[in-house]
Amino acid sequence: MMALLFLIFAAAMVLVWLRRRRTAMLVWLVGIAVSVVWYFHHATDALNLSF
Amino acid sequence: MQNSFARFLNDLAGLGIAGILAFAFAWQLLLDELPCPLCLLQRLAFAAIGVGICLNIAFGLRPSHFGVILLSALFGVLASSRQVMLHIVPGSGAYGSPLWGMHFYTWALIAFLAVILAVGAFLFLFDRAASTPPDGGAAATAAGPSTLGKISLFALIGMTAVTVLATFAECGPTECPDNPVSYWLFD
Repeated sequence: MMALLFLIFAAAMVLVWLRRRRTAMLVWLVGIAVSVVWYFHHATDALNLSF
Repeated sequence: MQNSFARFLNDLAGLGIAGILAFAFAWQLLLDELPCPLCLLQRLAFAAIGVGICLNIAFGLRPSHFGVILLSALFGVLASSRQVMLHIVPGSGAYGSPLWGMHFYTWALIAFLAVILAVGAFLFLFDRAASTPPDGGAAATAAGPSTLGKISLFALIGMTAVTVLATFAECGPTECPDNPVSYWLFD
């Protein structure tokens, strides 16, 4: 799954190389959105902080 | 002249981001310290920053490309600061070996904040160069990247591709373990 996220951004870079600007930015946007979702999936442990 | 210098700085930044990904991968191999899921999310943020830099290289400097860089860096701050907070209380342990007294997630947080600072300074100093030109960037796109820009572009694509393979080797098609000690592919 994590490898897939890197693949999304690699694909965005390849699209830039192929001069597909809007498609590359759309793919980047999808990648960032999925990354944020995946971050919240992993950020489950309570922080050991007290103020 | 301002435009060419601005693009030169952007090309250098691309090499810098590729260098960060390369260093992290080399550290992983040499010290046999596999990245945790949060660590991988931080590498992901660097790759996302790389997309914005690639856009600048290929299509010329545009505000939307800097937006890509800034939003990616903010995501990086989110992931790295989370990991810093997990270990900030004395006695709560740490992940990985320190480099010059600080762990990689702390260095990553500094790097992401530096990217945000650098973009702000860049937009302040290179106001016209970073604006969308009247032709919508057609001339910049037609001109294509410089030699350094091409090297930077391929370095970013290459290091992101290497990270794809390394991450698949570590985690496979399943979720990455919280404390990885071996590669899924070689078990």
